[in-house]
Amino acid sequence: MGMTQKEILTNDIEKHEIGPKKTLIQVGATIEFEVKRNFKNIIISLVVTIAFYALGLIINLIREGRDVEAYANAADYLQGSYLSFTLSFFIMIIAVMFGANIIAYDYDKQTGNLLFPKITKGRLFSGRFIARYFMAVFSVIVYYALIIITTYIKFGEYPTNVWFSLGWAIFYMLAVFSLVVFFSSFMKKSSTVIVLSILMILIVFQMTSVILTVAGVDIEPLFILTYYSNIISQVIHGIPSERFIESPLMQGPPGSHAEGPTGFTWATPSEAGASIGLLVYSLILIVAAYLLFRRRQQK
Amino acid sequence: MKNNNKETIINLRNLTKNFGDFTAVDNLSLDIKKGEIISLLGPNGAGKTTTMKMIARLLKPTEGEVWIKENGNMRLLNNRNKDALLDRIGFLIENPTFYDHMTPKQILTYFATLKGYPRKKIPKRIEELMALVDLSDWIDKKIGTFSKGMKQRLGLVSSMIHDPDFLVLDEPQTGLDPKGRKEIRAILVDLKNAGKTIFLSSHLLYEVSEISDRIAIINRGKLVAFDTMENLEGQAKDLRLQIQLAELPEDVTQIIIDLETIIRPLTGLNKGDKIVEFNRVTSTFEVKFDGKIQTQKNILKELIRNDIDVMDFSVPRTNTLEDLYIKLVTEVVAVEPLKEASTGVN
Repeated sequence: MGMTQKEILTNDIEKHEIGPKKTLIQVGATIEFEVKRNFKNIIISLVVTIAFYALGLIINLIREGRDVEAYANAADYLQGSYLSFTLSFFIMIIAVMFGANIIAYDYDKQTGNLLFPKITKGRLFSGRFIARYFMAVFSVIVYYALIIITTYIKFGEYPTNVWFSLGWAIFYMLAVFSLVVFFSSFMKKSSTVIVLSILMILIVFQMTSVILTVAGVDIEPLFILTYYSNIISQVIHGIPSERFIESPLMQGPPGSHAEGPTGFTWATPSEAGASIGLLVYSLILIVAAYLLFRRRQQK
Repeated sequence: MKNNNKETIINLRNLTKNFGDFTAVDNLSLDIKKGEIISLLGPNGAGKTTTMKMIARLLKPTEGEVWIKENGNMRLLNNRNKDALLDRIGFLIENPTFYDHMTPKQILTYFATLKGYPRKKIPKRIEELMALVDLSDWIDKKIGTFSKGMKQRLGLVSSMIHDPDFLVLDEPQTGLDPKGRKEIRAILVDLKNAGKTIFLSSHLLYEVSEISDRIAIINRGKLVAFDTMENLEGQAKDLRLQIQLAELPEDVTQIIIDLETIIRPLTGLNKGDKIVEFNRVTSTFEVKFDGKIQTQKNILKELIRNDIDVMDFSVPRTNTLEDLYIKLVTEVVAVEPLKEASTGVN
């Protein structure tokens, strides 16, 4: 039944030219492999998704228990309970979960020695990016499914603008995911990528935003990635015409009229600004990540 | 072995790789001919893995070129054509590291698909190759549970999965027990008989001397010898001839003098140092000679003519190669510190 050792080694199959289809086949195989490889991550991301959803539910229950004024409508409920700070934090966690080890791991653990001679880095990068981005998007979709169902049960309806919100969340995920991938393309360890990404998103961008407000700079902070997350929750009510708030930086005693410098707090980007900003951010980071990955050599 | 008429399929030209001030590979030139087993032999840190990585384009050479034959023409390997040129080559670089939570079946299926192996035939191919390296029962087990030797064997399978014409194997026997090493040697010989070309590295002389057509000895990044087994043995043989007598006389010194008198004119060596020494460990007399077969014959005839009871008369193959290997490696080590002192490299 079995072949002899020599027959196995002389296995003269038809040579495996796959010609122009090669790119598609290799990218497809990489996507398939990445889904299998990240199966555990998918399960964990679903647990994280449910945890964030549960957090919104719990906050809402506490709020109702303390007789705080109830949300006037489904849109307010969605925005207040699930789409403000928690969603951008959730997107960051999911992006880091799928993006941190996308490149760094193969250099840290030396798995690239086996892999890189078998596929070009461009195809590997494409396959991995597509697979992992869609796995991350899947978590966002599950999150939105949960909050839409909950809103529907509670109010008997849901705001149709929630679909725009989902679209912006997916777009924002692309930019955040690209940032994490960019760090992974040159950092040595996945753990460093995780720390650096979280520091960047939670501290550096936020600090920059605060500094701009305090400094009274009135330019729109389109260069701050986290600024774009505001549109995800704001779009539930439609994009507001007044996109920033100007308020005095120095508050006098109650009742007094404050005089002095004012600061600009930007509430949300315009749709056009957000589209272009997120696209430019994502493209620059993806291209930079690919170029760094392509030039990177094994130890 | 006659290699001159065989076609060269890989040519390394003046390959150099620097890491900062440190030169890992220094002006290395080699040609690898179709159907050969070529071994890159050298001590740890000699530059073997760096050379392999430059062929796999995992590292870009600082200087020099790698030429690979494709469709009858030699082509210079670069980032643009590496996908096509490396397509028919199977690589095993360093101790293979896999994704621990994956199974061999999942990883090998992925690798085979990347290399365009017919999809329907992949499961059978995996089963056959895993059986070949004694890992049939582990196809669906997580690789994280594998021992180092098992990962090494899996690494070999991963390099062969797409049935390449040429294999580049970096220390394929590392981490294996003697039985495993013997099995890998047998597989390599069968691969050669099947028409495959193999370029492997090792720091173990014995492992490569058994199977190689040509051996390249490298030390501190420099090629110090590159020749067929026969020619290297020829170089090695000028070192010592081993003679064991039927009975060991009490006065060894006297027999050394006698042997010197009888043998010296026949050794083909110039007058000078002592040519006969007694090895107390093996209880044999070791005689320096010029390495020629005719000289050996003459010495043996003369010993018999003088009624010396010779029980064993030989040129031990591995010992002499080992001597040559150590000599070549030591020579470079002795020369290098002078150069390093001037360049400031530690």
